[in-house]
Amino acid sequence: MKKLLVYLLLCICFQTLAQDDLLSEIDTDTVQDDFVFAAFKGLKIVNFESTKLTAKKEFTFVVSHRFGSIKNGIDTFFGLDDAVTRLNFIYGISDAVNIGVSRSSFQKIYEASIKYRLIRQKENRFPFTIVGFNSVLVNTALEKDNLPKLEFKHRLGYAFQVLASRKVSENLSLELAPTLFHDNYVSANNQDNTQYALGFGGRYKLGKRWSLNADYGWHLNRATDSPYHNPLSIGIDLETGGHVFQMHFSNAQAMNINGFMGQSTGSWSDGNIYFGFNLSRVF
Amino acid sequence: MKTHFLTLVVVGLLFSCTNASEEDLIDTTPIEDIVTYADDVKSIIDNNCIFCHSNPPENGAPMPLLTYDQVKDAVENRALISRITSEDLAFVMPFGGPRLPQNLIDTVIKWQTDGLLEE
Repeated sequence: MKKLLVYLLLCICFQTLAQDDLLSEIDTDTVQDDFVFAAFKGLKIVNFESTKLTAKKEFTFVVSHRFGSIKNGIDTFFGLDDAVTRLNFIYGISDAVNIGVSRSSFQKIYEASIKYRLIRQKENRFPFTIVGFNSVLVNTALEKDNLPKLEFKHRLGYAFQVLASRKVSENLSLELAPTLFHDNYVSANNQDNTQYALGFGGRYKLGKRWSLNADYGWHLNRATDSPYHNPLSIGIDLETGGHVFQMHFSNAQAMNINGFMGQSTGSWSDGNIYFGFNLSRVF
Repeated sequence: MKTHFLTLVVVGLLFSCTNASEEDLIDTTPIEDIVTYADDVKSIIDNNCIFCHSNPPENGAPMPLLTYDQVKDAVENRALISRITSEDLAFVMPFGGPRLPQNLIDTVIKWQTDGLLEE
């Protein structure tokens, strides 16, 4: 039953593809000033996707790094020695549909994603921007030598997310992100493979080019003996011409949804957090 | 047409949806005999460590793990066991995870309790 639900949710995106074409037609016919622009500057808040998309025929390259724990101090130069990297390429098929591929050195994960805007926030008309996000992940770090019964299907993971954002005022934007993700293989024996989470995110503009960003993922069915924690990240966005530079501290080292929601090992309370940044460049 | 193809690919991926955890994929027979380097530990190290812990070591690894003496030294003086048992994915070896399956970690721990024998 649960499985069926996952299939359905993941399939919904393909039906909405057709609707998106219609939506974008409507958009071009009625370009008015009542759309609310730029709830977020980056494609990501910190770890969570924001409701911003790359524009039509534009190509965005996002390089993300998460260093190791700052807890080990100068020995690892506050985590510099243990950094993981993610390279993410996003292309705008239209203003409302983006596709992306990425590779993360965290467990050598390849990911393909699609992000599609369903509704835009409009002044006095509709209070939210709603965006869907689906991804398929392949974990290529699992070894048959270690897991003798490993098959290719165990490497796969899926994520489905609805992102609802609201630009509350000129300076403040908030986002809610109900998330469903499934890993065909989980390392913790008591963890359900299908996992639910609720993401919260926000941005507060401190100046013309600066903003304070934060996001938090509330995992709803984590196993009681799980060694993993909910991810909390706080950072600063700096916008320079053509780049968005996001610097932050997070207790998640992984950068894909299944990674930071399902496998965050750091913890704010004992200082086991990671410095990281996302650098995005539009071509 | 393109969308149809994409749909097919993704539906294909979806039908391989499954539920597995570590204990489903490992060999769960408990180790009865005394653990030795040659019989048990070398293959674990060779499969997981020597990609970087080669001679000379690569990717910032501090020492090679190619011989019995090197691995024994790493257990005795370089906290090899605490590195592979750590729950902190930013600290655990192999670096970047995933953590080794528990049965392999237990084998290495038992090797230490059994006296770090070569054969």
